[in-house]
Amino acid sequence: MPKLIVGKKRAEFPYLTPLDVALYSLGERALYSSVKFGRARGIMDDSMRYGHNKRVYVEGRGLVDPTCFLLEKDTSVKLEKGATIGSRIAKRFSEHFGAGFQNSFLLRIAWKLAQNLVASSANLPLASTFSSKNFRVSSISTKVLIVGGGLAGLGAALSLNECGVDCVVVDAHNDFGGRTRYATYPFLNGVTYSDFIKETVKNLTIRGVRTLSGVFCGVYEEGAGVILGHDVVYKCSFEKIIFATGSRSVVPLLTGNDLPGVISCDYALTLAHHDALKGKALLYSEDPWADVVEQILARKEGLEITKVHPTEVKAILGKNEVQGVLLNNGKRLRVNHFIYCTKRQPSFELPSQAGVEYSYQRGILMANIFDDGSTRVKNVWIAGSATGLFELESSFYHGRAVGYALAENKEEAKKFLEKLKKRNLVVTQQKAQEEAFVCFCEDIRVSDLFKALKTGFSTPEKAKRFTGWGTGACQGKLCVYNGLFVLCREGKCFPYTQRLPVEPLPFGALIGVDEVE
Amino acid sequence: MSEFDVAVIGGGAVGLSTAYWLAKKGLKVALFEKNYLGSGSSTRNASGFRVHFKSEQNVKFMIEGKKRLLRLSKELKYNPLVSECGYLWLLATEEQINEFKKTNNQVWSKHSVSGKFLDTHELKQILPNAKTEGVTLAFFGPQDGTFHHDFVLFALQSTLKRSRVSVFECSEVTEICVKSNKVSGLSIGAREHTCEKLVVCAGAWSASVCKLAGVSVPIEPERRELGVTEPIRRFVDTFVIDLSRSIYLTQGIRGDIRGGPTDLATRGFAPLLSTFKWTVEFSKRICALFPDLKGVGLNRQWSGYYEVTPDHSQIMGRGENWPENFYVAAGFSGHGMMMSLLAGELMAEHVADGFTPELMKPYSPDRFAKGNTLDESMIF
Repeated sequence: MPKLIVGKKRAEFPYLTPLDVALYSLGERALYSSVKFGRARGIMDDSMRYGHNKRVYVEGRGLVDPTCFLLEKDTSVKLEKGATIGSRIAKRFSEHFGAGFQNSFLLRIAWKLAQNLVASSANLPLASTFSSKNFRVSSISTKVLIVGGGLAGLGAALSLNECGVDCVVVDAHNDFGGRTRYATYPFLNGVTYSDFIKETVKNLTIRGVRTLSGVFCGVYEEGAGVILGHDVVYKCSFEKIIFATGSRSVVPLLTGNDLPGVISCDYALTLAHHDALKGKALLYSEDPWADVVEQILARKEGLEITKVHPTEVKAILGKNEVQGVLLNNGKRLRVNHFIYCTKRQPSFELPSQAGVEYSYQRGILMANIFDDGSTRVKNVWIAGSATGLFELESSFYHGRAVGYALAENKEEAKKFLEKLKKRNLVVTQQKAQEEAFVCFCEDIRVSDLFKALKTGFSTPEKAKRFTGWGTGACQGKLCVYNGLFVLCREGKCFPYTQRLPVEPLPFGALIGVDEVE
Repeated sequence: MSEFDVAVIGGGAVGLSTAYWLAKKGLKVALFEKNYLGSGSSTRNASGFRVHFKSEQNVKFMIEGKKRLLRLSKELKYNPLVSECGYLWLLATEEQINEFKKTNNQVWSKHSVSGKFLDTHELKQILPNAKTEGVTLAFFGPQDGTFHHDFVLFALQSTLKRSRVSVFECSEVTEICVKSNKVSGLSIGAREHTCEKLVVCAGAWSASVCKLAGVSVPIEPERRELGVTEPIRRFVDTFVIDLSRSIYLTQGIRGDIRGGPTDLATRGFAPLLSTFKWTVEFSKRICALFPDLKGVGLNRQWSGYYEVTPDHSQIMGRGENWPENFYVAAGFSGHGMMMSLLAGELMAEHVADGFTPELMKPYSPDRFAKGNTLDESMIF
């Protein structure tokens, strides 16, 4: 367990909040900076980038994030310099011509100058600062691979195990349980979520189910998969795959949604678990999950929670970090954390990469699946909240049902399918504020997407190419839903094609892969 | 009286450009795209341009083609971000070296696009990070470089929107109506349109579109894959093609390195998925060339089709035995994006004014039957 140094070294990190320092010392995440606008930016969600990306910390150089910033203790390199070269050039010219980098007349005549800027760009990380550790190569061969070790994934594993079907469960985080891993809140029969998860993993392990934490990079054409651990890479072969990748909350489209201090409810639970969340927090609660989060956080010492419905919030206030919230009734609340718990959206990138169709309708992304979790893609199954249809208890039952259905035990599957309740899919109609950020890696605001709409790049696929929305390091994990929200107000539409891998896959990891065979 | 003067099938770079130039000549043009504009191969490419080809005709074509690229930002609204970063070929075998020397002396110097041969010492200065064992000589072509393909598409797209061209997206042509050796129109499912002339610019799908009119063209799809890394500080300045390891790569303005192995291709309409083999090969080769990139992550990978002809050069114009108002501009074999602007201009002259510009004469569809194929082996 890394040592916490909450609040202690703030002077050394002028742009960091105590929270970020805590995280930094946890070695989990680092601060992101706005690339176009030069503002410090908080960490939104821990599902944005998964476990293996620990290389953000570079010995003797402070925090280095390969995506968009370099922060050094001597502050000779400041955050304002931005990061991606394109956006820095854009920033230089945006004073004259607005945000339209590609339309900039000045850039057109000053390409030479822009080139010089490019050549002198010093803010991106050097290739040599990336960790070039050697990965051990191993292989996994199983009948069923379950991606995601939350309620649904473990539920499926239980069912498969009972039917005697060989399976392996993998999870991106170090601990199993997905969003419920630190949830000390009663689940079935009064056992808390986190205890239930621990117990289940223990039972599965005893019964011979292999559980792995790491990152799964996707299904390639040949059906191969890759799991990337901290120092090991597994090449997996499987006959069938269940995606139980869970769901996530989406950053609300409010002005100031990029400020440090804006965090997802799942991340808030992680932080609270490490005692790194102190002070006053506003819980922006739209989803039933917010009630659970509120109950857990309320019991934390030194943390004061105010629960507010989305329709009441007008704006997030603050300059370099969250300082307060402006409510619709004109009242101001002083808070230093803005915890959002919006309608949960499925973590769909992996199933989508495997060819499962997702569509966006009435504010929710949903998988096109059959009742038993099977899909139109052969041998690909989806369980739990990754479908967009179920959550929590239902998610667990769905996982159980999918496991039985896959093992062709129809009777048992039916029992659990009968217990399922579809979630309430009514989404609060929020307004997308023009200044709010949609894409945090490439700095795309709502207004940029409006511009794309106006220019005729109106479908997600076109708008992605026009603005760069979703092509940054998080690969759309944070922004795809909000982009869809802005672009598809009515009717049904489809997200842009998801590309492999799900996480940046270091070249060095795959060098020795063939030697396994 | 037909509904349209010219119907263009295919909304990729070549189709858009052809429609643009035809509209500029005052013709009433319709463009049919089966998906959305650029959805085929145009938005999937590596965006390099070069004047260094093996065949003299291709060299001449691209010298003009490059001028069109440079002119684009003046003519249309968008800047294609052309960067003359140069192509750097790393040569390993005696055969490769001889071929480059021969082409340099006989073709490139004749058209003032000769480049520079670099020994391993000079190479080290251009590519300080590279492990150049096995490379005996390198060739640097300073006139070559990169651009941004999306902006070429945006430029053409937004100009077409403002012009009189009717653009039909999500409109797959299902039938081409040929009456007494003349195309009279086409159908999109139950919908019918009439046209005076028809140009097929359907890239990898051209062979099947041409078949609708009973025309056969030797264009085959070939799936290639491409990947980009996370952004890093300036690492390579040129477009590198390492012939000893069969890999190419270049660094974009955002800092991302894009590239892939040059020899992994699948003929036919293989599904546009990603293969694990490609990922492993790319990782191995890129680490062999640049060991420093071992820790840098591959951010995304995707695939697209090359439209390959037997001599790796495009087909432009009309065949002798074809319906008299049926034209093709396709089969660019991986060079469609860089050639699109010029190709569209030449096609427009050919279709509208009825004469064949000197530059496009070598690309006649009849050259395969007549044995006048081009000698183009510098492809990757």
